[in-house]
Amino acid sequence: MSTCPEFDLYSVYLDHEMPNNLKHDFYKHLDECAECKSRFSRLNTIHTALRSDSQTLTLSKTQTEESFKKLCIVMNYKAVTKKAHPDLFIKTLKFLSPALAAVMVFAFILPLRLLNSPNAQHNFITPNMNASASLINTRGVIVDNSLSAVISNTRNFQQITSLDFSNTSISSIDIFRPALSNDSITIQIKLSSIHDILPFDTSGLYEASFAGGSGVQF
Amino acid sequence: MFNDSEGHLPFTKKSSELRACNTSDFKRIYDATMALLFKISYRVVNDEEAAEDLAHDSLMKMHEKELVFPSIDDAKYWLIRVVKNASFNYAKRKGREKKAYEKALHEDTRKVESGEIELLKAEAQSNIKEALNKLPENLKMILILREYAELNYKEIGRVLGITEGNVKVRVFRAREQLSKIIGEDDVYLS
Repeated sequence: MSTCPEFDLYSVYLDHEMPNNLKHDFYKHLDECAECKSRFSRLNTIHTALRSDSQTLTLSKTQTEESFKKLCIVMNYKAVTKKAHPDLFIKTLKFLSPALAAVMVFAFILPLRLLNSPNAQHNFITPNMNASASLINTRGVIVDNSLSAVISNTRNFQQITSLDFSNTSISSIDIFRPALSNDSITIQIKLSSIHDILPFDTSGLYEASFAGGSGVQF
Repeated sequence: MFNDSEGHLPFTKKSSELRACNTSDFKRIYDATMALLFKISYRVVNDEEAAEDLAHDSLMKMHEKELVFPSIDDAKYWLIRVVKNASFNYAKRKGREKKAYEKALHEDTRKVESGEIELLKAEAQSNIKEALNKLPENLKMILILREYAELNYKEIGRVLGITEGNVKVRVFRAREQLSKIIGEDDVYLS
């Protein structure tokens, strides 16, 4: 039957932490058991090696004093510089700056991004459902309100393309397309009074397609 | 730098009490702990200047916080705890920086197996300090506190916030592991 002690007892013995009443038995066992003895001596070697290494790492009295002087200089320097930078201000700034940055993002950047997104256009351009046309001076036709509104109307509301100019005499139509819009659009114009001049299909509609900001003139 | 304890403090000072902001108390704490703190820090960071700075930092922190300790031992435990954490953080940062430099500068990290290097390697690996550096952080610190700071199990328990029984087990495991590392190296070298 094995009577070997728990292995961690070797360590406890080495560190002089073993109760006196156990010490004698332990030492006696070490003498008798070769396996325990070799195990113990291995741990003892490590213990001795570390202790001797520790002895080499000592600060002499002069070194300690010099080190203290150095420490005092650093501490004095810190005490002086501390007055130049009020702690409270820096601390407040440190905590406030990320919060301010977050507020800026929400207040400025996010709304701007929303306004610039193409899906949001209808939010701020009110389409003019009742655009009307009238003659100006001699031969031009201009649609009331801004061109952008008309373009937007033309794209989104098909009824705008059937503006009726039959009661007015028009000899030519200029269509200008703003260069801002890249989508192609198709406009159909009924030319009821000039059948003999321009070719047209059976529906009586003349079709003009254009894209990329170029103007088409009839 | 220091405030004088007489007449400036709101409470009367007990005879055994130590105030970090008091000149003579600070010097007493310094004399009792500096060598110990340096030793602990040096074994972790392996750099003399850094170890001294880290020990100084812990003392400065104690002074800035104007701590009051019931005894010199309490001051010692507090400072050891601070210097231990600071040293491990420093060692980790240094390790990370070294890796980053190697990566950024594409330094050749391959090892050339020449006779000379073999010999150096053998010397290094047989060295107990090298083996100590291979231990996990908690076991390494236990051994440093036991062998270098020469604290007993009870004191180590107070510094690390663990029970005495736990300290006993960890010290044993650390030594066992260390002996295994050295043993493996011996096999490798033979």
